[in-house]
Amino acid sequence: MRAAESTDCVTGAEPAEASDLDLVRRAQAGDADAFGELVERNRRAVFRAALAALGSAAEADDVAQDAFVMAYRKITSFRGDAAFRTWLLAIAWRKALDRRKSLTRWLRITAAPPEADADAPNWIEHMPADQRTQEEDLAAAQLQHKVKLLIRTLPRKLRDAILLAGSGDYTYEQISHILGVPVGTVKWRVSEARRVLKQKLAAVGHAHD
Amino acid sequence: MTERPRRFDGDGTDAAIDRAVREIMHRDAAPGFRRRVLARLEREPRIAWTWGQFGLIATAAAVVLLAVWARTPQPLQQPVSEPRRAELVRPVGEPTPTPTPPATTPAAPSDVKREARAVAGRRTQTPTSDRRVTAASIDPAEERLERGDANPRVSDGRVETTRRPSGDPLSIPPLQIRPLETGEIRMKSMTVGPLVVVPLLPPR
Repeated sequence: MRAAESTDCVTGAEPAEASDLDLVRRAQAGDADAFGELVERNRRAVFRAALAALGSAAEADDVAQDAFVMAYRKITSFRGDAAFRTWLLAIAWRKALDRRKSLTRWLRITAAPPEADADAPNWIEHMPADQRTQEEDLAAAQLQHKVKLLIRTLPRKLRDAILLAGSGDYTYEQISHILGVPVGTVKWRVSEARRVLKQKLAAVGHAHD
Repeated sequence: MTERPRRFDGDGTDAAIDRAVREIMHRDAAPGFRRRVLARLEREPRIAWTWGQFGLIATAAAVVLLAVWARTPQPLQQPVSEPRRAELVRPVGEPTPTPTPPATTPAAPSDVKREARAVAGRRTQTPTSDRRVTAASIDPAEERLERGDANPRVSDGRVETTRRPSGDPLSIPPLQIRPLETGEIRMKSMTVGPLVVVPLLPPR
């Protein structure tokens, strides 16, 4: 399972960071193709960071585009003190927070029904069914549905931390840089989010541990 | 230093939380994301603003604003106190006329009021600058003399003062009053010719 996670993870390995730097240098010299390659490499990480903040795929797509456009405009100011992806994620996160705080977004969410999960992958089809009975599958499905609802009710700081950490796309250091808090604080928030979720699940009769 | 968050894949609540988080997060941008970003970059050319450019633009804007402000005519400042009216110097012993209170007349018809307003308007057409010049032309020493502040000097048993005739004579333009008539009052037309007040000599 660990191996599967590592291939699923979109965070680039260490050599990729160096390549990113080369691409950044070329983009700074005006090479649009190099920047396009940077977009391709980082789009998923940027999109998912925006998704963690906003909870809406459509808005996350918009914000991710905005983040790349801004990164291109500011790329001459990138000096390579941090990894390009970390710098890019910080831009995307700020953009996402701006969107999250915007009044128009609040009005739209208040007026419109919540976004449907129709385009989300059907997790039941992906569940390993070999060692489970139908009843267990049904119970797990109910539990997972409840957890998803409860994650939405978490305080923002805890929710941001657990979503970013649970996605598997970022290291703790990257999350720390995105959120602007120490790594220890990130870990505490993730742990606290789990504790609060378990507490809420226990309150509704779903205590397994 | 690249420690990754721990995953729980077993049964239980932790596993359910991990799966729920992954389900929420494992989505991707709509197809054609790279093409859309590059299209936006072509539409919106890169403008790298630096503090130097920003300062230059701000300075230019400030200069333009200052120039516009300097060319805008400023409203005349109101004088702190009303300009002094030229006072007539009366001979010693002559009684000072007491101002008579305005006679209370019955309300005039509207056409009479209109006529009176027209006459008053014609009177006020005299430029105010004339009056100001008249008031300003008063010599401070002369003003003291008129107030009685000047110290008379005794020479050979005669009292001499430093009073001198004032400058130009005071002239009043001719005034034409048109006839007015109401039910009770009737006023004929009247013409007041030009009036020239010659400066007075000091008393001997």
